[in-house]
Amino acid sequence: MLPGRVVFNKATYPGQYGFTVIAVNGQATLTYALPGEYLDRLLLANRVFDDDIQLVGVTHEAAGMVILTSQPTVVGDAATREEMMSYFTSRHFQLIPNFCAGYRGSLSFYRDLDQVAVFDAHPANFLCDQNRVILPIDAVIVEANDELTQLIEALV
Amino acid sequence: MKAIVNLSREETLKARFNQPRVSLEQLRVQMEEHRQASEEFFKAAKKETSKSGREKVTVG
Repeated sequence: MLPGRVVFNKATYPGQYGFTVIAVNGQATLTYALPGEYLDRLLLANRVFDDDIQLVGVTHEAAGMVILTSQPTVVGDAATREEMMSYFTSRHFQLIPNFCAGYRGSLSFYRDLDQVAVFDAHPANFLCDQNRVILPIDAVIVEANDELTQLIEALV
Repeated sequence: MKAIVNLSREETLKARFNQPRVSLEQLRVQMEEHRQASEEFFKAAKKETSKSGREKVTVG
């Protein structure tokens, strides 16, 4: 572990690997992620949000596989809508208006440069640390395939 | 104080790696505060949108 690096360890529920968004019957739909999609999402968070999520291990329980990861702990306040908007526009994302996958009222964003979409953005997933640096921690991030890209691009 | 958006990976990682050490209890309190902040956020968003997700508009 790097000096000063405080992490928390996270285990998925057995047989459950968070959520992702896929195109289903012509609609962008929030659905349970497969293990590979979950790991892709974590790698994407490292790349796009400059996070440092690391795979700790994989184990089997009676109810299914469990994926263990570590992630730097962030101490801070929940970000406001304006702060989230500022974060995404600075990183060349645009808001997908009137669309939410996850909690009703959460925000969704899309960046056409690399077809990356972020869903379920809300204050508990975007923190401002003690220096007011905005640090995302747990948004649903997806590299959209061609079908999902088409659907999203029709919305923005 | 205005929020900062770091565009440099190194700067962001530096921020992530230099968080204060806090107790588990403090983290639990923080998570609860964040959950409440999100609840308020969703409530405000629901007030502004109709069931179909479109923004509410006032006619006339």
